Amino acid sequence: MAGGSFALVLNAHLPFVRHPAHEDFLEERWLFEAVTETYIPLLEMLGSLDRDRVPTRLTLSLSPTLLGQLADPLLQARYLRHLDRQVELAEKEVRRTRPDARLRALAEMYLARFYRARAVFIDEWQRDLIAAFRAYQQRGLVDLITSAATHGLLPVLGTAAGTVRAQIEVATAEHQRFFGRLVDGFWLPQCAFEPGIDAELARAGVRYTVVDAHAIAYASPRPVYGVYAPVVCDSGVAAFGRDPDATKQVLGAHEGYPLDAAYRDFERDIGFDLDTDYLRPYLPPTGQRVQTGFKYFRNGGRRGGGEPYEPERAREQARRHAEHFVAARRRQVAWLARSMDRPPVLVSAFDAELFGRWWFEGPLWLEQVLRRVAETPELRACTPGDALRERPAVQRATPAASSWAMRGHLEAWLGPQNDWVHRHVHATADRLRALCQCYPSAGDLTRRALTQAARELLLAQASDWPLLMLRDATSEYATRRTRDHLLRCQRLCAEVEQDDVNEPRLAALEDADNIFPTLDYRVFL
Amino acid sequence: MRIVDAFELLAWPLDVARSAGAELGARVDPIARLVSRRLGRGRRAQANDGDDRAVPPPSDLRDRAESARFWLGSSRPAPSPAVVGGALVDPEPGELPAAYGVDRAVLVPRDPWWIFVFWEISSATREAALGALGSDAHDACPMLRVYDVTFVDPRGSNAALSFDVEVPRGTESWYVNVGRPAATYCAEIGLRTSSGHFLPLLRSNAAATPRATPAADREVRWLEFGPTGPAWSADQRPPRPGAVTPPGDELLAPGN
Repeated sequence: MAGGSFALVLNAHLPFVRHPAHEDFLEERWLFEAVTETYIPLLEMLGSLDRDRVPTRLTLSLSPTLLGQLADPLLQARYLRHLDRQVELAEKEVRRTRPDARLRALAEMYLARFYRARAVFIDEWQRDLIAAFRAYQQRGLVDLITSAATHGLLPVLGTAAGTVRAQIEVATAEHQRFFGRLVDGFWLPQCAFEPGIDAELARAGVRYTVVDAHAIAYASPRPVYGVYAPVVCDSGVAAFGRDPDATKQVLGAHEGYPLDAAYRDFERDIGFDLDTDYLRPYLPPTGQRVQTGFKYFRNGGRRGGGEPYEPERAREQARRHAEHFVAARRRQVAWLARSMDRPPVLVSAFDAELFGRWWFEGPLWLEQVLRRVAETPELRACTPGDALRERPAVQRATPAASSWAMRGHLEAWLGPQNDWVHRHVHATADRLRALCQCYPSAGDLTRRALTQAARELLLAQASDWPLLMLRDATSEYATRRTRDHLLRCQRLCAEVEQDDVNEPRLAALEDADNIFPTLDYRVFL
Repeated sequence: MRIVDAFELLAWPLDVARSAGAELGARVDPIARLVSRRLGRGRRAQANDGDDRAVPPPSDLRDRAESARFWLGSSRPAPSPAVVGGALVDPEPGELPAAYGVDRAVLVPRDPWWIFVFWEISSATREAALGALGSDAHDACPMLRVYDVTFVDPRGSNAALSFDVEVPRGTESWYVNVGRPAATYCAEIGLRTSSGHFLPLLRSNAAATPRATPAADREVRWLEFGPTGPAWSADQRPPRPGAVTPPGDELLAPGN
């Protein structure tokens, strides 16, 4: 019987959104919502697979900015406060929806979910979700990999000397700090690759990465097995291509599973439908309407005309979709066996936040997929690292420059709304690097100032900000964050150049932008 | 008088550059224009309390999933002083500098067919250029010369192909439709006088556009992977890969 490997790779990432000077900051909700809706459900899924001893392997990239925020005591406390408010709102919702049995059942479902999230967060893991992921890694269910320090877009950063290296080295050091082991795999932010980046990855000890399908299709020399086997660059770093069929089944504009009418509607939320006086305690201090997470309707309905969500029906559909997905992989393996002299490796790679945060039933679907793969004799769940360890020989080829964003390249970051960022990031990086080279070993205050400047530069390099500038709702915040981090870096550089470091202000910056606590500015040397 | 004219021509204020760059970037680039139109579609003003459910996430599913990660609802309203507070570091006062006083030209391939070039010309370089042009300075216009340096051996004597793109005054970045995937380009920003003389001021890095078709090279070579990584044999280990070597000066002799 022909067999093949199935590698599911998820990329969990959020930019750094910690605002200690504000009691309640809107964008911190990005993190809180992702914890409740994606990270905790993923842990629940791993727990359930572990309890049932399902033989599975999953690859999860936890970005350094996400890890830093999950480990931060202030954000942990604020998450708990957020969760308590959600529980309170759920209790009010249970009372409010009493006349309608269907809505009331949903309100009770949310109440139970928030109670459960609180139990997982406090009782099971004592607020330390990183320990939870570490535990599942030790039990062999998940292989944790890293991504660039602040999710910088490496092909564009590559034009400024030293910055790609810094993004990679800081990431691998952070991974080692949190997980006590060298990292095997590296998630390229936005799957953005260009030849040359692999050499920097090799230098940091990385063994493999994942690229989009066209990077392998257009690799040179031409890969004989297409995306169904890894290739290895001249640097010795292996690259796995995403399986386009799997991507299309999940994310296809027309056939993508999340659009199914049985699934919950992401957009319709009581935050926009109910009276503001009722909602006020749960809205941000700005008083604007935002999502509350309470969504009672399923896809397909127009505003006001949607049908109430039916959880059992949605669960059933997620099971059917998982079955459909795994059957397609099985057929693919059988078909590939005709033209390949070795078992194919099918790589399905997605953003983790797709599951739960946007596609409510996504974690359930994932779990069903992994369970079904475990029951399918032709398929074996593995990580790209496993596949490399078992593969006798890998074809030598260098993937083509590419990304998984709009039209497969860098258009999303190089456009009229956001291309101004690059000149400032580039100039600031050059200035900081030149300054760092003047201080191969700096005194305490200078060292702190240069290190904080490096931190600010890395934060400004996040590939998230230019993307968020494309959307009305987030453009102002993203512009401000880019500008603020660059200005902070430039001011610190000026203070070091003039030998006049403002210590209280530096301390305040260290307290606010406290990511990468073990960072050393010499990473930019 | 001539000096002043030429100075103005080169003293490009950033705000003008930014808006002109943005506008022109969209004008020269139909794809960018389409994208901004696509992203702009369906958005409406969100003034009314009951109506800030606007801003539907974009239409592609990965885009939608991606924006869902950051979607809380409407734009945040302008912060009131009470909300911002008097915190020491939040937000950072001031604006980013209009210029950094350095010479810099950077070329980034955007996709297989387009490159993005951004640059800054320092006042010293600018003044030196004005001096060199002398009486021709007043009618010189900024120009981008793009060299196709694919297969050009930087130590050899083979000449590079090039073409010129006139850029509006006050611009500090430009999108160029090179139209050729898997080719290596390098750009010079300079001044062209009315007599057709080109004076290069800065040269960018060289970079290759992505390949857009399967590679012609069908050579099949294998590498064994050991338990800890690739097991190179002595004759397999390749030379350490580096960045694309920019072409030497001898290839890109300035002037026509």
